[in-house]
Amino acid sequence: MTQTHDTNNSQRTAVGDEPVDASRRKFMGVAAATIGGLTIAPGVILYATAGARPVDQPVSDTVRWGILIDTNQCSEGCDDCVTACNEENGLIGHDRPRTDAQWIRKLTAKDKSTGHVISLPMMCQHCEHPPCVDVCPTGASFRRADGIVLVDKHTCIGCRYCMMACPYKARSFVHETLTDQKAHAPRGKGTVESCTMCVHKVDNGDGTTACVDACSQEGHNAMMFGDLNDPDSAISKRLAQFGGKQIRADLGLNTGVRYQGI
Amino acid sequence: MRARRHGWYKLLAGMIVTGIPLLLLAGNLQPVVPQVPASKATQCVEPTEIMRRDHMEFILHQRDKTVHSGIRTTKHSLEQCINCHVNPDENGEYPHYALGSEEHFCSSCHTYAAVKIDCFQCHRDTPSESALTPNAKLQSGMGDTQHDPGLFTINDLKLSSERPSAAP
Repeated sequence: MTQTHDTNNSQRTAVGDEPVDASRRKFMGVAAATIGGLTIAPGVILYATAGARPVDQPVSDTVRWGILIDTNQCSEGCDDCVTACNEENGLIGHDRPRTDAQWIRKLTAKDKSTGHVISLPMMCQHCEHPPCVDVCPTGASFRRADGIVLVDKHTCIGCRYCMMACPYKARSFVHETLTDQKAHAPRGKGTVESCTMCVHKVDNGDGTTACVDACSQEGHNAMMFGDLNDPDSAISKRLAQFGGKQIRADLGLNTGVRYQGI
Repeated sequence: MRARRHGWYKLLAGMIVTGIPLLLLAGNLQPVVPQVPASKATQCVEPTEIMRRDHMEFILHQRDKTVHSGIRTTKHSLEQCINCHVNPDENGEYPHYALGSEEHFCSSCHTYAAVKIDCFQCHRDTPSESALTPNAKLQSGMGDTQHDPGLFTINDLKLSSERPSAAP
């Protein structure tokens, strides 16, 4: 619990500052949603809620999406998040575990002195300073304004530098010719891919990801998705109350995925 | 000299013998045009003449907006092209561009024009699963429903049909 949240400190350093920031943000959200609603053509109904991004507006850095994982709630042997991810994004294995695409995987760690076993899901940590983006020679690996780290497969040449640079081994390379991909998750041979934080669902305003959804549906509630920039979001409140650690915090990457109980 | 003159007559005779049938045939010949499968909708998102020449400009422009800015308007998205233009055959089987089917909407022209596209190495070449559900709005035909306004109009793009070099 010694971890600090660099990006969030400005929003919630002092309790006294919060009402001002929060009310201003709410106002801006409502204003933005209203403007978005007006620009939509007649006949198109936009169900805009306060803070939701209109469909024709680009993502902005007013939000930073993140996931908080409570390892104490994550049971060893459960891989519902992995199954849900594979299903959502159409990841089909070829019975070759060393090279099959894997956007999220379960890890188990045992403290030898106490015998305490930790089980946790590991995926792209959506760093603020992503090493994969640093090393990409074509600019295919990039970080979206809202904090989601992605691969633009139109420019990816499959060199796999990013796979070597990632401290979390979060990326996969597609070795096989694919057909019948999910329409919302294009992926093909010769490109690198990783967790997209279900960017299609985020853009759709679903407010959740496939893994988080599956985890809460099973009643584990070990994962939480939300806006790290919004001090009123459930994830920020929980982080403020209980804290959350980064894995390999020493690298100073400021990850968007945080863990409790490690 | 005589031999050379003989050669000239032979060439003329050859041209007449082969040329006359070709001229006769030409009267019945129609230009070879690709057989393009019908789409679900009555009208595309832009006029047909524009789409024929410049569809790639729309898709390319939309592509970067979607990937980098998260803008997922449907008007110029490849997904909606496929949802509308790729239809099953009488057995309910969908043609696949990736498998070289000439029945696929995209390959019907691209095979003819000998232009190889790599869109479908990553993108799904059949309608999305959500578009196939009974409640999908596409079932009623996209031409009858309202599109979202899209991000740009034909005026925003430098279309090849407006460039003098590419004009027919």
